[in-house]
Amino acid sequence: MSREEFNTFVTQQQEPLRRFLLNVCGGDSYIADEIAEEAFVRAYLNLNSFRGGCKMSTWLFRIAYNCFYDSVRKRGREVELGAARDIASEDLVQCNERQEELHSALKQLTAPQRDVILLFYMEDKQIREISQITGMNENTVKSHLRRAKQTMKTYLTNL
Amino acid sequence: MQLEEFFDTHRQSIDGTGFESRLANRLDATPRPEESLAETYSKLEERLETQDRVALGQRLVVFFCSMAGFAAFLFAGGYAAIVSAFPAIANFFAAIRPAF
Repeated sequence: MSREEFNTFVTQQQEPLRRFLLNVCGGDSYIADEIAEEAFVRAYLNLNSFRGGCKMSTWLFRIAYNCFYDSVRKRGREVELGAARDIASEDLVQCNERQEELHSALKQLTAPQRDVILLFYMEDKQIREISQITGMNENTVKSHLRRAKQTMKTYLTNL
Repeated sequence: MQLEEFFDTHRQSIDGTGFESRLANRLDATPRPEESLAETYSKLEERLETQDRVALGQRLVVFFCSMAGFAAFLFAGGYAAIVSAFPAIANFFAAIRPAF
């Protein structure tokens, strides 16, 4: 893949990837963008190792997912809970009530449930793709999704 | 509210201009991706296969040339010449035998 083709791939994939990372980072756009950038660089450096066993976007999400959990481990805390940073990236997202609603709803879930429900509903990924991204088997993905749906429904009903 | 509807209404749109230019700058400063080990192996295998094919071709050429040479020798009466030379060879050995 040439650099121009990779740039096109970045243009296509940056929005869903950054949105996913933004949501798993609890709205921290600075960390989300840092992780997204790292994921794209890793993907670029390892283009030769992509064997085509899945969609390229799935492969990118897998890299980003690993980068996110590497980042969580490095920081020694749950990045997604650190809401201290100012959410003011120049090209990112309208930080409004809706976003707060979404993040407070997502806080009701465990990390795997949150990841699975975001990939399924927000990024329209199939169960198989979610399994490839997270490394969980398909039944585990379905189970997390079912529990996440129940928790979210209860939360939204009580709002 | 249905979950699909909740996620649809809460889906953020993200402008990528700033991000893309930052990433492009970083990629410009990043060395070109190195060839993976798997790719190096596959190229090496391909080269060895080519060498094997060349060696096989050479062996076939040598074999056919030998067969052609043998056939020419046969048809040109090479064996007949050898057989007809036998008495002379026998006489030669007979002549040198008394010396021992």
